[in-house]
Amino acid sequence: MVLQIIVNGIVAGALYVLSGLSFGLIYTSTGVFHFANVAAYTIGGFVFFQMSVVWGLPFPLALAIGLAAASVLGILIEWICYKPLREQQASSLQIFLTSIGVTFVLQNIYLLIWRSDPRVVPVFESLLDGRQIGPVRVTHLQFVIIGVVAALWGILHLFMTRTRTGKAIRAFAADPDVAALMGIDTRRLRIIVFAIGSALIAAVAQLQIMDLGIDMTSGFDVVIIGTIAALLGGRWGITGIALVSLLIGIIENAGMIMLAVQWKYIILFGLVIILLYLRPKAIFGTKDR
Amino acid sequence: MLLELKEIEAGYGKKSVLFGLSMNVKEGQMMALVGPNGAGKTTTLRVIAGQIHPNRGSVLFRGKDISQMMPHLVAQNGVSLVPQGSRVFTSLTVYENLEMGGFQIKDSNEFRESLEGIYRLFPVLEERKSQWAGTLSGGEQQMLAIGRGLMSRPKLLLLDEPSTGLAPKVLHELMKTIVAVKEKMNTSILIVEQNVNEVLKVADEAYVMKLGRIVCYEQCAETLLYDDKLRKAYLS
Ligand SMILES: Nc1ncnc2c1ncn2[C@@H]1O[C@H](COP(=O)(O)OP(=O)(O)OP(=O)(O)O)[C@@H](O)[C@H]1O
Ligand SMILES: [Mg+2]
Repeated sequence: MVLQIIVNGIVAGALYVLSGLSFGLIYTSTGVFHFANVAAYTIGGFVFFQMSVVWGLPFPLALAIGLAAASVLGILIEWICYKPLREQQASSLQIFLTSIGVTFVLQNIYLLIWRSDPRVVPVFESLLDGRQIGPVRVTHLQFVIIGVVAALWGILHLFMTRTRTGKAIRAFAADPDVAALMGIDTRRLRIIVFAIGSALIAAVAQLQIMDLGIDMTSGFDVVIIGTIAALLGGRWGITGIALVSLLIGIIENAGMIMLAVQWKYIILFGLVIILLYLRPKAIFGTKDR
Repeated sequence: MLLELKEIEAGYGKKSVLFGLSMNVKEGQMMALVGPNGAGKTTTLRVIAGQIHPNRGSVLFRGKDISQMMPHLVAQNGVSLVPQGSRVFTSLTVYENLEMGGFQIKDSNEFRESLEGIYRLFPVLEERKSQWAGTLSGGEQQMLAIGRGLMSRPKLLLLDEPSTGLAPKVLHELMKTIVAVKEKMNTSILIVEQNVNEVLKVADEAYVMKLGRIVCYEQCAETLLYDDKLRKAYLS
């Protein structure tokens, strides 16, 4: 029983890892507290559903279109909302508030299109079969989720440490003005960061919609918990984010925090604010701007 | 003329810092820019590098007006600014810092040659190449910043107080290195320096600036050392 809770917690936590990486990547490099990642989550999941279930497109194509939709949305938010504000020297708080505003506008547009009922993208029967390992049952889909998360983590790590663009993103995170002096087009980097970050959060939505299903509010939980994991664990890099995410996943699955829904967001938001207040510079050990 | 600043007026927001500043740097030259704190030396370099766009006046680099260009494009045109306080990328390794300096180089042979050139100038950077740049000593960080600025083989190198935090002996070595850069790499240099004695001995020509204006131009930098024009600029 305890083991089963831990296993389920790890699966949930693995998804928070991706969410934390998405938030951490965007926040560390661009300095934007990108709450509107919620909107990228929702569009990634629901476009996948629309393509796959409603229009019957092949699975991989539907997945890809969902990811692309999220990336494009992320880029548009950067272009239309953040860039003009930045050029007017807006404060990080103003940008954060704008991000929240954008989230609610977009989520309401989605509600008009898709309404609020939860969606599940059915997967092959065999993926839902499980394997009994001792007292623990793990479905094949859960294996897939863990595998995908691990693979994306690895790819992101290689990208950031081995490629020219990845290193430029780290240089940009460390000192944006000096990065530009190197001949690096920082506007292009921001766009790449938003595209990757949005695709990562959309991948979470797609994995969840195949597993337990998602609705219009799911993105809030995932993004806020990922943010908390990034703020708490980011100091120790990706490993730190992963550990905190897994811990949150396990605690949640153990039902150790039984909260009425209306309290949940207040507590989660409160935690984010306290964390930001305590350690605004903590993520990935780089400078805040 | 490699670089011509004409009647530059620039500042930060409403605050004006440069008032009709004009200056020239010739090809193959090492030009010193000296003056008291707050004179606007850093601001002048930032205008050239495209970090601040002047309200009036023009910056001609090889005949082209770059005054309203984005900083990364100015860099791609062959101007490299080593900012005040070195500002290496602390969360990158020494090697990665140099890689970023050579970001514009597409050809891998050319990149390797550039890198070897830098290692020859500053052998300590090769010894420390896998170390996080943030763990280097102040002097080593300064060398890394200069090496990083040279990786792209700029036509014009802008140095903002490279001597900060260096011991006098190291500083003397560094000045010799900078002269070697000018001669061997065919790079023109505009150097801002607090350590007037050292820099005027090695520079070709010099400008003295004060309160956002050039107050003196000297074709033989060293003569300024024996002149009271310089002292006057610093006093009162
Ligand atoms: N980011 C900024 N915002 C507002 N004012 C600034 C800024 N940077 C510099 N200044 C002001 O511009 C003026 C010139 O500064 P600048 O840094 O160019 O001087 P400097 O000659 O480089 O001095 P130092 O020798 O101390 O480095 C100063 O009065 C300074 O207070
Ligand atoms: Mg200065």
